[in-house]
Amino acid sequence: MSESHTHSHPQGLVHHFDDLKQQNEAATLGMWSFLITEILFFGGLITAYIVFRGLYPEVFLHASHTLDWRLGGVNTLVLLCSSLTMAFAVHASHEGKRDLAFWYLILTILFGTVFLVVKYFEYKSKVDHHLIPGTASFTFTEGGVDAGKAQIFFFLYFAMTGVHALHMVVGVCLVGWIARNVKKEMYTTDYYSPVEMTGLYWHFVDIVWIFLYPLLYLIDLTKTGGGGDHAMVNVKSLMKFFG
Amino acid sequence: MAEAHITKKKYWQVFAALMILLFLTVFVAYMRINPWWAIIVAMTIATIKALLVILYFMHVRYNSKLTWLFVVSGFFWLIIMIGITLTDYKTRDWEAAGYTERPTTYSSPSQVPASMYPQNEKGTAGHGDEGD
Repeated sequence: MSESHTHSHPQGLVHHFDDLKQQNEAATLGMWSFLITEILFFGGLITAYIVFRGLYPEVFLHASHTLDWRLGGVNTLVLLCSSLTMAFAVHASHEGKRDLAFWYLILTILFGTVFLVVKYFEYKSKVDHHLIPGTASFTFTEGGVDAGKAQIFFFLYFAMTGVHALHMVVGVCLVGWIARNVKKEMYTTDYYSPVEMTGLYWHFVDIVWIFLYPLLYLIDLTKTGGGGDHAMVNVKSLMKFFG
Repeated sequence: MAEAHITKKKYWQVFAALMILLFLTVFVAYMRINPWWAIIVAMTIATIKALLVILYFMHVRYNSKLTWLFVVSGFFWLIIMIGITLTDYKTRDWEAAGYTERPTTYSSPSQVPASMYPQNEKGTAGHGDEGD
């Protein structure tokens, strides 16, 4: 620190901002700029999904029945809960309740981990049923549809949920880092922008799943009642693991 | 800061609304209604859920006008991307172009089988632009 900086600054304020309010607004805009690129990134994948579903509706109907709407539903529930605890963590930081904020962040991490564990079992079921696109062992015979076109569905499924899961892993690490900082008393009631910005990221990842769940799991249920054989095996393997 | 207006009670209310909407979207999926309506209802519910998260959990409702502009522009570009892409795919008249089914993607024109090209008057396959 140079000697000219002897006057006092509020904790967390960097020199090129007038005050914490201005700094927080700049951070919010910066975070949203990043999130806009994320919207268009996931949007590109969703556009591809809409186009190919439009071209091969029969194939996507049968292929999507390998997904279990119950597991997807549980994961939606878990993510919405994690968003609530994240919002509470920001709220507690605002009120200066550090311990409370810390435990809400830990809860958020726990919900995020549950999501990833369920996702692991869903992926494992796809591996067990030879549904990995691009591999020589890929087999899909449901409804007598073209297996090559079914690979397009599974490619999009793995691309969309895979990139989303990667965002979840990053999110869990970020929240962990923020929880550590909260514990070290790095934030005050006036300065807790990092908690807020991590919250924005976490809620965004939640929003992506809010769209992926109906697109991948739900919209084709309506034609059959859904939950094919693959899906049942999936739930059983999960129950076996926990019980 | 910006979220000073939001109480814990409000978060619980938003969360309750999200739970009801989640139940509703699963319920509608199981109702076996017309598939087109199923998509419209599912996407409408997803949009409402996303709006609730953006406005309350992400505090955008209480942020500056500039933040509003950023958020709206992000989704506006998304609509442009999906909308303009679909105007192409949905208005192409595949059958008038002579395709018996919608074409798969090929990495080069030479890979496209002859049966995918329009038939000429003699009933043999040929490129549409070759004429007589």
